[in-house]
Amino acid sequence: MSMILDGIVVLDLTSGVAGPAATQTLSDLGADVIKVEPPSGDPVRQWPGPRLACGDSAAFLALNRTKRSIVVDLAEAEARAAVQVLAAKADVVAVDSPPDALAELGLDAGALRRLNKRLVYAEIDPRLPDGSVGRDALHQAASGWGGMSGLPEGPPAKAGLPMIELTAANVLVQAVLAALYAREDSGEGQAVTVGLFRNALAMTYFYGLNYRISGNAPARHGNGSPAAAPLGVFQAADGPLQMTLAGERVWRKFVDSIAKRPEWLADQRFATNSNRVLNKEVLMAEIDRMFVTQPRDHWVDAMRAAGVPGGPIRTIGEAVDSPEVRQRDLVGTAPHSAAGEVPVVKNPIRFAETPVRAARGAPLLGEHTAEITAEFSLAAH
Amino acid sequence: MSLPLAGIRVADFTRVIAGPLASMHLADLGADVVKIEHPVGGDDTRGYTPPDYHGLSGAFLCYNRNKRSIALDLGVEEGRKTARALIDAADVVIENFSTGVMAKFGLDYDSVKRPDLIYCSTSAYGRTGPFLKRLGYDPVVQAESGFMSLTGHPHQEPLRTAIPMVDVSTGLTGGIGVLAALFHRKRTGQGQFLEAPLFDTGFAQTGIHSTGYMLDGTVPERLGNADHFQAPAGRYGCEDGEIAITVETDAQFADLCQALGLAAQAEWATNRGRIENRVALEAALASALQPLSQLEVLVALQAAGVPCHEARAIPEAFADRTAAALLDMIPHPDIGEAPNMPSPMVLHGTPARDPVAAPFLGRHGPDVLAEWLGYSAEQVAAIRATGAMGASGETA
Repeated sequence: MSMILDGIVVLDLTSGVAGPAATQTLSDLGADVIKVEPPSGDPVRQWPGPRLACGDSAAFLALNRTKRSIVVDLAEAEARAAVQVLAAKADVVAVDSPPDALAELGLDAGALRRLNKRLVYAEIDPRLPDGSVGRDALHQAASGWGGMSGLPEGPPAKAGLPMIELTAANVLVQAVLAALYAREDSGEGQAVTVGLFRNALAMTYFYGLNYRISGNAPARHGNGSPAAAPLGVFQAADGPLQMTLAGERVWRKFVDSIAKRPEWLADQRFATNSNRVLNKEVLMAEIDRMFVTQPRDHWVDAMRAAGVPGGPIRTIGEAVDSPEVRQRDLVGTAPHSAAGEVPVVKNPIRFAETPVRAARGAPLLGEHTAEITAEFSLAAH
Repeated sequence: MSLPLAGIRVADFTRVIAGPLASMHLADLGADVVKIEHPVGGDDTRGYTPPDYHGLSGAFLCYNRNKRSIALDLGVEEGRKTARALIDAADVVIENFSTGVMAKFGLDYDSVKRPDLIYCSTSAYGRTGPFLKRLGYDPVVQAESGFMSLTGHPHQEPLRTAIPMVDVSTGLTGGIGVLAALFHRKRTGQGQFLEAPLFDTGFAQTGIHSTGYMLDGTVPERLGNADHFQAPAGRYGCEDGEIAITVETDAQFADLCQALGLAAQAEWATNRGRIENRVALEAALASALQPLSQLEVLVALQAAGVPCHEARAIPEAFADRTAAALLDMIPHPDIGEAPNMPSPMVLHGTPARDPVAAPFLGRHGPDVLAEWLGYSAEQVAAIRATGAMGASGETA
């Protein structure tokens, strides 16, 4: 069976998170992604934390599966010429440097599209509103996004994953696919851009829009809500769990089949959602006293049986080892040229007719330099 | 050149956030997206008020731009027949009901499939397997996937993000799936079924940490506004406001120390050393910044080339000139105009769609039935008479 992006060549000049995450998805869809790295490599290779014996970090493995790596020193004119040769033959070039820096290298959209009118020039624009360059956390800070989450009485907390970059990656993949689709008819590529700041601003969604409608600055609600109770984080005997009881129907299900405290239905303090919001602290304390008597699975199983939204708050380890991850076949291994094999987290999209590619492990730095040099006759240039 | 997805018809049965975000991006790219809604109340997000803008909620406005709305009661036979006719006229179907609901209406993939149809289910835990019946909710998946364990401050409870980011990511992966399937169909003529489940997407985005756990058992902790891979990084209080700083290289750290007069310890020279000694380093940096004004810190660090920015709440962020220019009002057919959140993508070679704000419930029923199915006013009236378009008819 063929893959959707069979025959599509992606020249990937990005590093860090957003660009590599985007080109990795293109690779999952079947594209041949050529990762162009400086002699020092993508800095993510050196990120601290778990790593392979060869030195590459787990984070690098998670963002660069199946790609081929070629080392090119863009400080050298000859090397830049080689990149232009590759761009002339590629379908997509992905970049994530500020536009003026790319222009200085002759790798801006105009220059490369003059060489190849079918080229899709896919750009992550990393600039903050003041023109300086920043990655995920700075865009969370500049857009207001990073100030929205957090406990009401405490400081804000940014997302625990680089969500502005990860979502920008997905948006960039959409833009590239739309441009490739349009190219089938027009024969022409185009430049597409996802600005990290613009994306962060867009991602404030209804918090941002409600502020524009009402003029009221959004408050932080932690895991709760000003509009419904009880919901949020509770402690079971062996760990935390999350439960969302919004509305009378689930509240009654909870009281009848999980709490088994029918007297709560008659209790004026808990009779309506607004009374429960008013008496939230008493009610949450009651539930905590009950939850702490049994392990988490006891309560979560009961919630699932009763159709009450809730689940265990898992660590990353518990999530990897969970029945959902195992049964949904979301992790596996892939061959790796230094380590033999490495763990992979699979792409979440399931196509009935065109399955995503079985992954290879992320490449070693420059692993494919000779191969790509020969394949694209780069030595001749 | 025309819009990339000009001429593509999308029958959109999605509600709430993930599905509507997927179909909105298709609409932004030029697809004709028809939102099929229950005549009573429609999409749940219509009710996410207060506040409202002339009756439209912020949540509904931000996930339903550039769509048309038809009210159809799928519990009524004529409603199901009309929905089936729309599917037969569509290139793409998207739905995010619980497993079994579309089948109950005779509108699941197996019932409606044809070789060129693209059918995307944004399911919770997949349409097959042992968890197919389990309902999906963003906060639950944030908890189950490990994402929530990473968000929040050390020694405080784990947090979900204010915006339901698993829903958002799922909407984006669903959109990728449909666009990829459209590209495949363009080349081969073949449509297909695809799904982008909520749980699978929520878990996949933990890859930078879950891969490490699989490698050596490391379980990451939550770090507040600090970063797992780079130090120092965070939001720091100044005398008159907050500033966010992310040091990405050793050279930037040396420049930061010089700019602030911070006495660097030897073990802070490398990122790994700074991560290992994070607590002492962050404390030293925090106390160096505390007495300074936000402006002097910004000026000093920007001059030194250290990545930083004012940490803002929404009101200050939206007052920024760059932001304000993106936060536009767009036309609305019934109320003149409505506030819009920008599409995060810009295509420079194909024209951008002239945006239209999210519709009132059932606004386009007769238009859609005429354009897609060729129904006359009499035929529409006959459907309406069955109650399939709502008891009191359409709001417009």
